[in-house]
Amino acid sequence: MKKVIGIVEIILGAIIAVGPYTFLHVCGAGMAMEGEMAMRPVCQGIPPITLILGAIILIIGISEAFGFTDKLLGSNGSKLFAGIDVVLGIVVIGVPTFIVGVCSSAHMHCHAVTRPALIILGAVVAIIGAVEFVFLRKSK
Amino acid sequence: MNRKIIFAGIKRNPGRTFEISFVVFVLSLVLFFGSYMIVSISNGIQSLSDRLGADIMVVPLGYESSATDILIKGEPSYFYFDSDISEEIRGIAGVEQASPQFYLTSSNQGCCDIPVQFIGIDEDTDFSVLPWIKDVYSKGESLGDRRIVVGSDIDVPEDRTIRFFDEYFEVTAQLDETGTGLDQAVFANRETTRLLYEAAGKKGFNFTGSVDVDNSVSSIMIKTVKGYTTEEVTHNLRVAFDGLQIIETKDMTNSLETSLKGFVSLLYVLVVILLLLSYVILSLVFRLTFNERKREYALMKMAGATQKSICGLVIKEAFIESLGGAASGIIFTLLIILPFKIAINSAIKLPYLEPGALTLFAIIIVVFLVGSITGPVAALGTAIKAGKIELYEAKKVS
Repeated sequence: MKKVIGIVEIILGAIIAVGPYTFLHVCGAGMAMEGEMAMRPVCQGIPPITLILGAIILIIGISEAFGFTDKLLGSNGSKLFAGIDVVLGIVVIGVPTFIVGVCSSAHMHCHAVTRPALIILGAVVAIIGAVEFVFLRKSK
Repeated sequence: MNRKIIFAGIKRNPGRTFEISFVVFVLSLVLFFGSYMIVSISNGIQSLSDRLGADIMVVPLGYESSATDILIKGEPSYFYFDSDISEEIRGIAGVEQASPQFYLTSSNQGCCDIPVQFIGIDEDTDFSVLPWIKDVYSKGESLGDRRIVVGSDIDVPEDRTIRFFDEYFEVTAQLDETGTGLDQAVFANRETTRLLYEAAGKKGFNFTGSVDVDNSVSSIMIKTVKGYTTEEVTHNLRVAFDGLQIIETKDMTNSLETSLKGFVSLLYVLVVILLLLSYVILSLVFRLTFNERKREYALMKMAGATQKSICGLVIKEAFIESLGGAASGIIFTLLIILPFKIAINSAIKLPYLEPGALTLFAIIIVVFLVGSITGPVAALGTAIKAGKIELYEAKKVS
């Protein structure tokens, strides 16, 4: 069970970390008008944050998949990581919504692709964390 | 008791359960996604036809694809010809209404790099834009000095003010969703359009070249008089004018419908192949499982289970496994089509208007039923065989 969850977390963490730099990319800078600087879209703040969040989820996944959690943190380690996953999942949802935000136009890539993808990925991470937490509490 | 046996059978062989559920998952996904796309594109084409309002669209020669791209794909463009023609067109036999439009594009909508299509309309003669206003934000005339109406996809800030080329414009109303390129357009009267044109020039966006805004138009939308066919009016226009591209809007929607028909046929073929494949794969899985579970069925028979109850058990197991596959296929598809609807819309470059909740619910029910019965139908042969297992076979395997 822990191994499967760990592998899923590794995949999700990698997508969250690398996605906004690749296929879930955010928008480029707007065109500059005469005598003005090019506008920097708000969504450009997303990738650095998701890189950190994704990296943490990936490290937790590696720790769970390869059984380092119990060795390093004892029997409550997995429960702690499950709780952290819930928080990280909510933060991932928050990055394109209430923390950083995306461009206002519905047809911008960050609005049409990056935002829904991060919301779904964040929700999956949070649900996995919550299910694991409940499962671990019950199994005690 | 029966339920316990069914779930014990499912739990005992997770690999088989996954295989069966996965086959039904793929079938449900293709069926649901395909049906949803067909309904959405079909709605989009209908909406385009309703919304245009015009029977004929006149644009400069050679700009037919640019004009249709504005309406269908939402790809901004601009082209011009002499506005005097618009008066002359009103005098042509069969023309009931003729309303000129002036196109401009922007490279910036306050953020990033999405170009916006500006459409300057003549409020006095317009019949294809203003009747479709859905939300009114300010009192008075929708269009006026620095007052604009926007398509449904344009994000309206709380202060109802949008900046284009460093000039501020008040959003007075928003149009109803069409699923076409018009959802991403901004509509203004001729005065405001002129202001936008000059502001673009001042900011270094001389993409429009040197056009006399007062004496140029990009297109003329024409409504024909009842009793005249579109072909007759098109003929009259061709006789009277040279160098104009005359587009019959029904041709535009007809060509879209033809593409949709191709897509529908392809989907039908794909669904039939998938159904057959699913049936063959699932039948094979059930047949293989029967050989593995002969002993189990024989023991049931020895314990007094009837032919009917063993047969029912196999069918119910298959039904529950299919149910899981169908439900997950539907949920997965919903997670793609609902959050990514704008991305899908932009990618397919066809009019795309999502179905209402009732239609969506109906599609889900049909897909769920088809997905759920695939497993039991494929398992029928095995179920009958399992039910007919003889006691001597039971002894042989025990």
